[in-house]
Amino acid sequence: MESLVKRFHLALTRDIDVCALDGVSFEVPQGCFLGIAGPSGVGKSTILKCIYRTYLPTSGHVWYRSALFGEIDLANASERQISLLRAQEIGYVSQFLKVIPRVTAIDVVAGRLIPFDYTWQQARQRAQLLLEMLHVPKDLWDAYPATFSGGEQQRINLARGFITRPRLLLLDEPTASLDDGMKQHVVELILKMKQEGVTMVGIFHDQDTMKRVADSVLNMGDVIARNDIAKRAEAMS
Amino acid sequence: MLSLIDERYNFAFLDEGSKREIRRKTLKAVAIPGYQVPFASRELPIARGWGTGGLQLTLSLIGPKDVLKVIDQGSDDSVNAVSIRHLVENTAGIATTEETGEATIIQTRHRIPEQPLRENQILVFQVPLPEPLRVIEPREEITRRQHAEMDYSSMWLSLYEDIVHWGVVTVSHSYPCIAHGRYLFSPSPIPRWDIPKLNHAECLYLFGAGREKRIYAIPPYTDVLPLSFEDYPFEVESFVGRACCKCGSSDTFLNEIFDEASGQKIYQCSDTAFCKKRQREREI
Amino acid sequence: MMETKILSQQETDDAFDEHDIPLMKVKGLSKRYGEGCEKCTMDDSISRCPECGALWACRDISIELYPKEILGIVGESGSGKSTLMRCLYFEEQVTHGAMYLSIFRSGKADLFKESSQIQRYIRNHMMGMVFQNPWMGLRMHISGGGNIAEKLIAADMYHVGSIRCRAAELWRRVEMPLERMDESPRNFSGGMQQRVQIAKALANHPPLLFLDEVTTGLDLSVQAKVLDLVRQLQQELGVAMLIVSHDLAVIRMLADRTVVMKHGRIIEEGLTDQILEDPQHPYTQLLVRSLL
Repeated sequence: MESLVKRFHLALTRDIDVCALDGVSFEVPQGCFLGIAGPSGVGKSTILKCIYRTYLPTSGHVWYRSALFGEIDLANASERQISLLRAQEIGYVSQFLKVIPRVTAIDVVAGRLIPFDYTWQQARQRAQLLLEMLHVPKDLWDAYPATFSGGEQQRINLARGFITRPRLLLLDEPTASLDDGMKQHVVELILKMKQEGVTMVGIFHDQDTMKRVADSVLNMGDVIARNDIAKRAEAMS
Repeated sequence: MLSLIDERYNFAFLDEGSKREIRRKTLKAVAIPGYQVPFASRELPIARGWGTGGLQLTLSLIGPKDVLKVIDQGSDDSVNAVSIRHLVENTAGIATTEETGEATIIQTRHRIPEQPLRENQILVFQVPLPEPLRVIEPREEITRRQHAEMDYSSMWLSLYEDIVHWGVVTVSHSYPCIAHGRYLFSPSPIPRWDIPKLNHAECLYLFGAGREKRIYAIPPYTDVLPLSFEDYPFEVESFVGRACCKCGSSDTFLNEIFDEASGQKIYQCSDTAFCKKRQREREI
Repeated sequence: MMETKILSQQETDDAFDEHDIPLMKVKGLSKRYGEGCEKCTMDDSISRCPECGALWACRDISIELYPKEILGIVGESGSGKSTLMRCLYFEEQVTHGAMYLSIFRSGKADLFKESSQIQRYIRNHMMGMVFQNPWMGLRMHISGGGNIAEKLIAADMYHVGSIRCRAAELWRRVEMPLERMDESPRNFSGGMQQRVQIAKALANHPPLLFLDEVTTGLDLSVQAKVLDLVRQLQQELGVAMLIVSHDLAVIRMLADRTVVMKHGRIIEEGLTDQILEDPQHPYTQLLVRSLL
């Protein structure tokens, strides 16, 4: 990631400019986990959303070595390219479950495999395995996740992110509403995926989890301070 | 014979300009089998809807050496056939006949003679409704587009609905046909029995609709196929076990008649000239 | 993730084109009602020319639709989205522009320049359409099954048994009671009529489906069921879909990518989640905020 800037320009009642990120740069080697730390409101999620292109970066580059297109700048790639990358190699697990209503838990997870030419039957088998690993009670599999508790939804979300074995996985507080026992399972899964070569960028609110999974940590507080110093130096010279 | 001609009229009633118009449109119709060619339909001493289209074709086609036969639903003797024959006799003075084989031009309403027609014969149909799609689509603008695009799915659909509701296609006359693999046309209200006679015939078939101002044609040796689904082949009327009470034919299109004397249904050839011929042959 | 060797944008585009060809390409489509004049296209903010009074329902629309993809077109009524769809279905003649389908003459022929006979062929064999108003898409004097049959006949199926069989299969697939297949759609509820339309549109396995405000005017619970059906069918059959709606909730549920139209122009396009979470154009921002 190279000096990424994200500004929101809102023109509703009056024009407002919100600068969420101002020149953030970092690198993650393949198969490594980069943790992003910092106080809330500092733009941690914004980074993930810029990589995933839910947010359109204002300037800067996100270089990603993709299997589909080779080296590609996610900040400037076409929407179609992003669509394909999302379907095939970039996963995103958010704090909140955002799924289509009236689809059962198992199909929410299994559906991710359909673009990979799985039949629904095969996909559901894979999904079952993962739901078992995440200890989602069997009687919930055929229920609608909208009615689930926070922790249950979170696990559906994780299963959805993990099932395709993405090359790059973005995790936005995936353990926020899980108890310690469940966190343990999730951490194990993450470590297993890392072993399999999945590159990950993640935000965890608790430092213990972060320490266990992250190979390196980007502290947003430091980034901002560094940028401020650089700017001041620029202004002075 | 010549003394019968009413000299106040042009030969064959129509003026030469009108005949030329009709002949030109007829040529165009022959060139595009099944395509309805609009023409300037003239006033005639019979009402529109009573065979004026066929009559205009006949009048513009006949020359002094032609022999005309006029039939109405197979019969030479019905009022309409007789009147039309008289009109032509009075204004053209040409020979008329009831013998199918002798005629060069036959004007007909709702039948094709049983005796196969030859290369030097023309059958002229009187057509009430030239547009086969009219029953489904009232707008001329749309039916023209459908013909242009060869979009006949609506007609197929009506046959399909027929089969779904009744198990068979219930169309008894004017069965829609495709000419030369291109235009859908109405064969005029002839029974299904006559449809196969349109395919690869030796004679020329001309269709005239006076009220609707359309001429169309099926030239000799043209493919004429009735619309039919693969699993519901086209079928003609069946007269199995029945025969004409007059000539004994069992291979002709029969009319059902109620015999008052016996109180029973009896059958009789629709083509009266053919029936008489069979009767004569039988006596000999 | 930094790497030494970096492909230029152009090179990645090429690599990408090899594998992934749009099913449908529309270039510079404009539709004008009225004579038009030289000053016609000057002002972006209005669709009616103040000089000559011509109405520009669509102006310079370019879109691409990939196989199996759902593209949403959102905008208020009068933004030109339905006109655009009617143009693509050859129901309206375009003023300018071109349209290509990868499956027709290798994507080299501009379909707007083809004869109406060819356009009919393309519509019957490669496209399906579901109209907002079922009276536009269905023949009400013909049975529901007959309506499906019409599309099959149009695509050259002339075997009553096979037609019946396929119609019944579709009928069941859209969850309609089989015993009502020979009934006129006039007797059906709005939601059922939309189901019949969907069955008809899908009858001949088109790779491309147009949906114009399919749920507008339906009860909320019925809307949900129709949308579920559309989504399931899309996953099952892999049909590419163009979905026109004024309702962002519909777009959010179905579309991969979204195009926002106003005054006949595309003012913004992007991934649907990006349009919803990071809208760029003030109008889109207003639209999204109205949703929440």
